[in-house]
Amino acid sequence: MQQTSKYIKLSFLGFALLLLGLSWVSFQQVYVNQTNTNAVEHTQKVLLISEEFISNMKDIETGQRGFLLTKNRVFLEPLNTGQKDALANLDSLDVLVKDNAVQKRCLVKIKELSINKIKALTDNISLIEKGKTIDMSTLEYGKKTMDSLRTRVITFQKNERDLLSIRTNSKNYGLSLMPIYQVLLSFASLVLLGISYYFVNTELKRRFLTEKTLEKKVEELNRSNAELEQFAYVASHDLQEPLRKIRAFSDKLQLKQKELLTNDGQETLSKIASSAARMQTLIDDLLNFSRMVNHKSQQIEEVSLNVLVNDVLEELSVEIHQKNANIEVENLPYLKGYGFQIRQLFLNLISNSLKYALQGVKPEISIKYSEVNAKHIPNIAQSKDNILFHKISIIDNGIGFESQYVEKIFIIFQRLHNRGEFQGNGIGLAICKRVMANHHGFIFAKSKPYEGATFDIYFPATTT
Amino acid sequence: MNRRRTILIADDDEDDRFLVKSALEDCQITCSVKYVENGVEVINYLENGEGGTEIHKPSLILLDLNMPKKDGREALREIKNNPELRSIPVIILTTSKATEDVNLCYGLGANGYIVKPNSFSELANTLKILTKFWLDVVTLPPL
Repeated sequence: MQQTSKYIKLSFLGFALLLLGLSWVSFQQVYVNQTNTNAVEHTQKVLLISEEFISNMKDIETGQRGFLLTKNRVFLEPLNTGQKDALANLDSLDVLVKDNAVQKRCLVKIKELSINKIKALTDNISLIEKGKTIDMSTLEYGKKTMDSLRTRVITFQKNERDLLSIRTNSKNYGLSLMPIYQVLLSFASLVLLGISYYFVNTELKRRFLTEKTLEKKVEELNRSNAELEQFAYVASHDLQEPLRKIRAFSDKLQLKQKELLTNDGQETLSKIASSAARMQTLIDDLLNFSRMVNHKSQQIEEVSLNVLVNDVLEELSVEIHQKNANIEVENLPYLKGYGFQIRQLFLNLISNSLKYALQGVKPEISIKYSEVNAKHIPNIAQSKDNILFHKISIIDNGIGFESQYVEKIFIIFQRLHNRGEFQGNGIGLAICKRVMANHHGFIFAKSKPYEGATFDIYFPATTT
Repeated sequence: MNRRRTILIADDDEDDRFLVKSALEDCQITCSVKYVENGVEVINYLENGEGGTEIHKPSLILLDLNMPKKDGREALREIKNNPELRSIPVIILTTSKATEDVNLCYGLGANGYIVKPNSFSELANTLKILTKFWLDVVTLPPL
């Protein structure tokens, strides 16, 4: 199970990573496309403006030539606007290529050339206006400037186009791999999804099966428990019949044939009678126990432990008086539970404390109460952590017992002492344990020989 | 029909019948005792008498509760529902200590309920008191 849940975690982690990869690839694709579109737009803008620039320069040139030929000022009109526009074009280009050093240098040259050209041009015009003639070399210089300007602009445009094609190529190269990545990643995601599904499904199936088996087990347990309880009751009930007759017949024999029996016969008969009487008390105890165990017929009620313990002390008043015992009881809580059983529990525990008193020592019994968190109760399942329990301790100064017997004493018919020393059948604490189990509580004992015994009982404080 | 000093004892258990018989012998009372083993025999005896002889009613019935065929509860109900038999005293003598049984039997009109004692001497003593009371002390209506 640990392994499977590790696999599930791993495959889900892988799945998440793959999704991240897919998103990154998609983002890249969009980003590259966008950058490229921007670049194309940029180049087109640069080309357009430089085209405009050349056209403006041509207008100026044409206007100048017209004026030189006709001396008509009409031709000078486009000169002024063209000059302004051309310079504005250059400024725009300047902004557009500000990140490109090569183009910038190119543009500086273009600017220089255009300023020279415009200067030469205006010089020519003013010469004509002053009625002077222009020599051939000046005209040639103008043409040369114009040609070199055109070449520069063409270079400028070519640079821009080259840049675009490099960009497009790199974009195409990057984008050509993208679909492959996408398909690969998607495929891997699908595979991982399948694997995760497989693991989750197997785990679910396994749990479902475990649940079914558990349910069946619980049902079986309940049934066998019920049968066992029924068995104990019926067995002890039916055992009583022949036993009663053994007692009646041996009694009859003792009563009517006494004179005919030898001493040995009489003794044997009285042993039969006392054994039968003992068996009777055992069966009675067993019946009591099975009645206690079978709590389905009993009602859960609100029980005041103060009242209940007082009742028990009242019932034990003769023994308490005989042993001159001192019993101190703290203020006890209310409980929801089977009053009859809880009463038996306290009766058994307190009468045990009285019974197992140290000879010659005044019995001191104290009943203490506190509320504890299940975390602080030793030897119980961790799952009960943070549940509140009523803890009631019954502490005596009696003969105690070896700590190795702390569990054995709760087993039915287990005794630590000879029948000659102390009366009893070893059923009292078994009943206590069962009563606590019926209330989803616990009972623990601790003791050392001759140092008294402590019985801690824990009732859940919220539920029953 | 006349009332005789007869006790009808219904118990399916042979040992118990033996114990009762021997305890009654110790009581030294003069009466006849009739033993039957189940509720069917009880009713049959009360309604038809014994083997064609004159029908007579016992002075006392000691009735066990758990018997085969027809148990003591049913027999008790039939006796107490029959106007001709109703006046016969019925004492339940059983091992059952169940409160339900005690309540049921008194509800049906039983005249007493005794849990079978554990010792023979106790049984003898109980029967002595019973027979003395129901055969000698009380007055029953004439038949």
